[in-house]
Amino acid sequence: MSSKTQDRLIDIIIYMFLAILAFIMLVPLLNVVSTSLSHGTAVDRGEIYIFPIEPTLASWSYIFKENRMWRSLFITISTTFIGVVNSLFLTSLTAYPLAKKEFKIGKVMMVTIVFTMIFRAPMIPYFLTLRSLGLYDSIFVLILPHAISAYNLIIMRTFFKQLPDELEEAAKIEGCGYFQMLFRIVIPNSKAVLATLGLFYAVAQWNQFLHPILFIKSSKMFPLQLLLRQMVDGTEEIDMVDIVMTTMVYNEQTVKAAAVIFAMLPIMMVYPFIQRYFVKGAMLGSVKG
Amino acid sequence: MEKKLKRSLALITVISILSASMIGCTRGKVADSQEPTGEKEPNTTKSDSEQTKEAGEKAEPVEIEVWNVNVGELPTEKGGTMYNYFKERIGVAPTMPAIPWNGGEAYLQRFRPAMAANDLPDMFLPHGGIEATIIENKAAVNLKDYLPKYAPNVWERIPAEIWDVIAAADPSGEGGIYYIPMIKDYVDHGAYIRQDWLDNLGLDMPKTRNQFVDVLKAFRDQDANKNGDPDDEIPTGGREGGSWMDHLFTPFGVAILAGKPGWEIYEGEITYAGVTKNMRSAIEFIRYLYQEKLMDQETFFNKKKEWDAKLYSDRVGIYYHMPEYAASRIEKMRNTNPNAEVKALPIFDVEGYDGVVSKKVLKRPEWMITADTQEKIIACLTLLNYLNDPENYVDLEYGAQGMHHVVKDGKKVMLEQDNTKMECRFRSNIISEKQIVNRMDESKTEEDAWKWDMVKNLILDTNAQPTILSAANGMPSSVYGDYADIRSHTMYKEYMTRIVIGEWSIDKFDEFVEKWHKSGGEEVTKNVRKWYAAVKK
Repeated sequence: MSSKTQDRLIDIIIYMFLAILAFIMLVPLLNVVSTSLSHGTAVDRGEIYIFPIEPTLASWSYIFKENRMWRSLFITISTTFIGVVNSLFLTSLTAYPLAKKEFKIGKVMMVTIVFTMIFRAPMIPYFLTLRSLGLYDSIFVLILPHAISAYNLIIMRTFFKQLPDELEEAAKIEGCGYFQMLFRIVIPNSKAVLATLGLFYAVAQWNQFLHPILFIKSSKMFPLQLLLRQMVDGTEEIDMVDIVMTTMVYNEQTVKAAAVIFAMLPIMMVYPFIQRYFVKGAMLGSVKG
Repeated sequence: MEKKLKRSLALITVISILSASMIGCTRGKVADSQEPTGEKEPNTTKSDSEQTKEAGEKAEPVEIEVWNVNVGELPTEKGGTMYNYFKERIGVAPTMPAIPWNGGEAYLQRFRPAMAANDLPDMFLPHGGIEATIIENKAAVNLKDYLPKYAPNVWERIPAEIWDVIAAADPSGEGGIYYIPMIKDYVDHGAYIRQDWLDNLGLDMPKTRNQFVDVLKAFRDQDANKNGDPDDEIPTGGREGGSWMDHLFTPFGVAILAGKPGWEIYEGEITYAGVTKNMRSAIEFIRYLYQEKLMDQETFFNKKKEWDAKLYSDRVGIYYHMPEYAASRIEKMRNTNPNAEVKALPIFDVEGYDGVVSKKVLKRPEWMITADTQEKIIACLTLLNYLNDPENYVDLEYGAQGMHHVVKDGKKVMLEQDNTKMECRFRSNIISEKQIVNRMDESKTEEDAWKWDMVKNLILDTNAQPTILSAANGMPSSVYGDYADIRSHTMYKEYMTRIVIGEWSIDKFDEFVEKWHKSGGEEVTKNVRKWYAAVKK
C-alpha cells in the first residue's frame, strides 16, 4: 500500500470516527427538536427518538404567540449585547497595563485578581453588597457584576504580552501615548482574542441564571433562562398540579422542548460567524498564563 | 486606518449609549406597567366587585407580599386580577412574585439571601426545613394569640392535637405557634390497578400476597392489554431510588411515603421504618419480584418522564400515584387504549404482618408570618381565614371570572389550565376528602363525568383501606441535627437498590442497620424519641 493510500485510509477512519462522535452529540438536540415538532400523544408515550411523529407546528405557534417569550428574548439580547461590549472594553483597559513590564504594581494586581478566582465571595455578603448598590430588581444586575471575568482578563493579558514590542515602539517614536497605543495599535491587532472572549462573555451572559433568580423580582424583567425554568417547572411539578390539556395537539413536554430550542437558537447562531477567530484566539491565549 | 479606528470606536460608544437608554426606557415602562391601570382591570372583575359590594369594601386595602409554590403561572402583581379579587372581598391585597420552583431548589436560592438581608415577604412557605432556623432565631411571629381571634377558620378546623405538636417544636419550650401547617385529612397516595387488564384475563382483584403474585405473573405472561403482543406488559414498577412503589412495602407494615421510610411505632417505640424487620421482609419480597421479572427491570433508572411514558403507552398493570391528580393520567392512557379503566388496589394480606398505611395529616409547614406591623399580621391572617372558610371553597376553586372560569348559561365553567394566562389561585391549606370529592362533582360535565367519577372512586377506595395516624406527624426537621444523610435516606436507598437488583444478598440488610445506627441513626433516634415523649405529655 502506498503512503498516499495509507494517509487517505487514515483520513477516512478519522472522519468516520468524528462523524459518529458528532452524531452522538447531535442526538439529544435532535430529540428535543423532534419533540417540539411532534404530536403530544406520541411524546406522552415516549415514542420520539430522532424524527418527529405526527409532525405539527402547534407548539411553536404557541411559543410564538407568547408575549413573555418575546419580552424575555429582548431583555436577554439587549443585556448580552451591552454586556459583551462593556466587558470587552473594560477587560482590554485592565489587561493592557497588566501586560506592561513598566507597570510596577502589575504583579500585586495580578495576585489580587487570581485571588478572586480561588476565593469567591460568599453568597450573603455578595447579595447585600449588590443590593446596597441599588442593583436589586434592576436590569443592570444582569450586566455590571459580570463586567470583568478574571479568567478572560488573564487570557487577554497573555495575548497582549505576545504582541511584538516593535509594533508599539514605532508608535511611541511617533509620539503615541498609552491610550492611543491601546486603541490604535493593540486592539486592531487583537481581533482573534476579542472575538474569542466576546463569545465567552456572550455565552455567560446569555446563560446566566443565578443573578436573575437572586436579584430580579419583577417577572417583566425575567431574562430568557429564568422564564424557561419557570415554564419547565410547570411541566415537571405536574405531580402537584393536575394540568389537563386535552383538546390540543401539543402538551407540556412539546411546549417545553420548543421553548428550549427557542432559548438556545440565537446564541448558537453566533458561533459560525466567529469560528475562524475562535480557534486562533483560544489557542493563543492558552500558551502561557 | 486612523479614521477607521475612530469611526469604529465612535460606533461602539453610540451603540452602548443607545442600548443603555433603551434599557432605561424599558425599565421605566416596566415600573409603569406595575401600577394598576384602567385597562388592566378586566371587565370580568366588575361582576366580582358587584357581588361583594354588599359585603362591604374597604377603602384602603392592606397590601401584603406572599411567597409560595409557583409552577409556571403568572405572578400576582399590584393591580393584577387576584390582587383585586381579594382586595374587593376582604380588603387585603396580596402580591405573589413568580419565583421559579425547580423542586424547591430555586425557591430556596432566592429565599436564603432574602432571609439574611432581613427582606422576607410578609407571609411565605418555609420550604426544606428552613422553618427550624427561623423559629430558632425568633424571626417569625408567634401566632398563638392571633389565630383564635383573626383566623378562627384555621384555628378551629385544625385539630388541637396538631397545634400541640406544632407548639412542642418551639425550642424555647414556651409552646409558641410559629407556622400554620398544610393539613389533609385523607390519604393522598395509593396503588392503582388496571381493571380492564384484570377483566381481559378473567382475574379477580388480588387480596393476598399469593393472589397478588399470581396477578403479576398473569400480566407478565399474557396479553393483558390485548394489543396482540404478550411481551410488552410491565406488571408493576416504580421510579429511581425506589420511589413511587410504596404498594410493595405497605403490606408489610412499613411506614413509607413516596419511597421514603417514615417514623412509626415498632415494638412499642417510635423507630425509623427503614431499619425494621418489616422493611427486611419487604425488600426480600421486592427482590423476588425483580428476579422473577414481575416488576420493571428499569425501575431504578426510571425518571418521571420514562415511567409516565410506560403508563401512557398502556404497558403498566399496577402503579402508585396520587389519586386526586389521576384525571389527566387516565385520559392519556385512554389515548392509547380507549378501554383503560383504573381501580384502587387494596393492601394485600401478608402472613405475620399488619398491612397499613401510615397517614400523615400534617403534610408540611405551609405558612409563616414575618410581617413587621400589627396591621399586616392581621391582614395575612384575614387572608388565611378567608381561604379556609368552607363557604368560599368552591368560589376559590373557580378563581377569577375571565381568567380561570367563564359563565355560560348562568353556570361557571372552568377554563382549560393555561399557565401563560393565569395567575396562581390562592388555595386553602386545610383540605378534606369531602372538599376534593365535592370539587369533582361540582365541576364535571356530561362528557367528562366518566373521568371524574373514576377519580372520585379512587380517592374513596384508597381511603377505605386500613390506616393509622402517623406517629411522626409534625416532627420538626431539627431532630436530624447535622445528619443530613439520615434525613435524605441516602444509605437506605443504596442498600435497598443493590439488594433488590441482586447485587447484594438480603443478609447485607443487617449490615445496613448496624451502619445506619453508627453513622448518626442512633443520635437521630434519640432525638426523635425525646421529641415524641414531649408531644405525648
